[in-house]
Amino acid sequence: MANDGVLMFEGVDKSYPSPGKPVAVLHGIDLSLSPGQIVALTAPSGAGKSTLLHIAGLLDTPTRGRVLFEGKDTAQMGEQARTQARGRRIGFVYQFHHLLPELSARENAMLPLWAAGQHGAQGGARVDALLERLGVAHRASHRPAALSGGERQRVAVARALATAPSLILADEPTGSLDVQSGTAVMEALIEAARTTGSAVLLATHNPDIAAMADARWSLAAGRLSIAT
Amino acid sequence: MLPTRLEWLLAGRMLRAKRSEGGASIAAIVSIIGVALAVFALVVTLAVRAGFRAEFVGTLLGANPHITAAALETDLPDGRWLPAWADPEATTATVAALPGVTAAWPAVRGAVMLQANGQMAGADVHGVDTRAVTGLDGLEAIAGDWAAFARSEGVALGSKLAEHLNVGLGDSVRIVSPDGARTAFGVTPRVESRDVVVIFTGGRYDVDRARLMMPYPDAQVFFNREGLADEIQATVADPETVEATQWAMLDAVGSQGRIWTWKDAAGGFLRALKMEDRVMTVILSVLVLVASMAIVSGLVMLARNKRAAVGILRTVGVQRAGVLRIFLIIGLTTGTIGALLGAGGGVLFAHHIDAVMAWLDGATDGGAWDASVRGVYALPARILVGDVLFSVGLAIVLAALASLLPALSAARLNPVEALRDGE
Repeated sequence: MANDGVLMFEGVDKSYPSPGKPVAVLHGIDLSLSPGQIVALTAPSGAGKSTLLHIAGLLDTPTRGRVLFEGKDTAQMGEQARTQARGRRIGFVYQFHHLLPELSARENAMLPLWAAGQHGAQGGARVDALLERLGVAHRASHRPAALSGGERQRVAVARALATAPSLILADEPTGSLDVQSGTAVMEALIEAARTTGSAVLLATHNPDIAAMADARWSLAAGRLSIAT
Repeated sequence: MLPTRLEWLLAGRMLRAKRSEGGASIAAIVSIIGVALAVFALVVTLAVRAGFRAEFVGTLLGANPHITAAALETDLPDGRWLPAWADPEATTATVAALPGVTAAWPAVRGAVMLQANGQMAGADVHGVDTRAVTGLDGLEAIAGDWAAFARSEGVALGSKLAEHLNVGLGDSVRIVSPDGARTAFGVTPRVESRDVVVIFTGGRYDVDRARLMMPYPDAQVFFNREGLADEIQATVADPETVEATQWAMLDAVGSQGRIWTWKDAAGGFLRALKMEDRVMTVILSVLVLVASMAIVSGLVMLARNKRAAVGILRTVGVQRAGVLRIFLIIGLTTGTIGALLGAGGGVLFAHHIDAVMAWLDGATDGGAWDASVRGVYALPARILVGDVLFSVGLAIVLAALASLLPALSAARLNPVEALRDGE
């Protein structure tokens, strides 16, 4: 498998220690995600979807196998390098927005840039453009408590895209929204990702949302099958 | 590494955030009040301690000689065997010429009984001349004047002694001394009357209640010390380093005298005061430590409320050290604000302690301060920059130590678990 992808898994296993016998969650996962590719990952609950996303997002490590992010073996990266890569090159969107209640919508979207030490006007302009594109620019100074569910999730999308990451990991990003809001958020996410050229790995139960992706992967009992 | 702008921003916002936002504002306010009260108590106690020592030492030095050369028993020219200086003026001149000595004078000392208006009291007699009165700057004539005292054959009475005997300026007191005239039948008590020409205060209750001052020549006659003196008394420029003069004086007066200083006289009390200082400082430092524990509980609560926030911060690229610094800033800010408020309040309180004590004295019908027990007439406070800095520094250091554990705990949070818990 060529290592020119944004993200590559090679024979990745993941199991968790448990009394008696370790619980195996992922078995021999091989995948490759190209720049700009949008993939929907469908899986029943408990199939290991979140675990796969955590490993892809450098938040967890595989028990066996190799994970390459932007061509680098993540096993060779220290904690600091992984955190840095996560902040600058990977964007996360969760089912729950996880916005910080003390910060305004704009400040929340700026977080990855500030964490990377980028306080300049360029980053600010980029975030403003993202908020505009996602339709929440008029709510930029509001705290999350004053936003609707759809607006919060759009701000979370803006935060994920703020650093123009090469990879966006979205775990049920519309799971807490109604159909209309969810579709709108996904359209905004995909449109923004296409503009920035980010690859997207999108975990969803919703077939309509999965249909928006370039490819569909399904995960069952810890094994990945690719159905384009 | 110094905190980043993001870390300062987040710490500030979390510190001010309402409880509904999972913030620390209430816990922080409680912590600030706790630390402030502890630092307030420490600052006030240290100020009162410093003031009490300064007042005690100041009045002690103002009303008493700093160093005294007492004569050992010796053969006198008239055949008597007495502890007295045979040539007091020459010895006084020798002492006055020593480096560091600002004034010296001969003195006759004795103990007498006083009687007036049906009242009796014991008195400690200092037979001195004007050199003593000008040398001891703490002696203040509150009735009469020292010039009249020097010219007269009257006496100067401490204010509390005069009050006790119910005598005023110009009144007569009867003085009874067991060491009177020598007769064929032995020494008879001497009983004489003297007019009160000065009523003075030395700023200390014990001085005012027991001291009688008699002109030096008169005292020589009264105590059978014609041409003699019991002591050569002196003041020095720097009483805290009186030991240097002590050795020089011993060399100067030779083996005829024994030297003691104000530190010898009040040494036990000063040592007790120092010991009390240390114990009080330790106890009040523990109080600051206990107050800092509120910071621990506040931060633990904050870290629990902010698990999801920590998870998100870790996913957007904030390092463990960054999370650690955010929580440390919150704890340190809390401690620092508390320390500064406490120090400010303490300084203000100590500065106005006279008014506070006056009010307290009025409220307790004069029972708040008993000069006969305390020695000095007021509760003094002396604000020393070092004491204030110590109090503030201690609170900040303890706040930092108290913040470290919850901050480490927050920094070690696994972001995956933190996010899961926050959903």
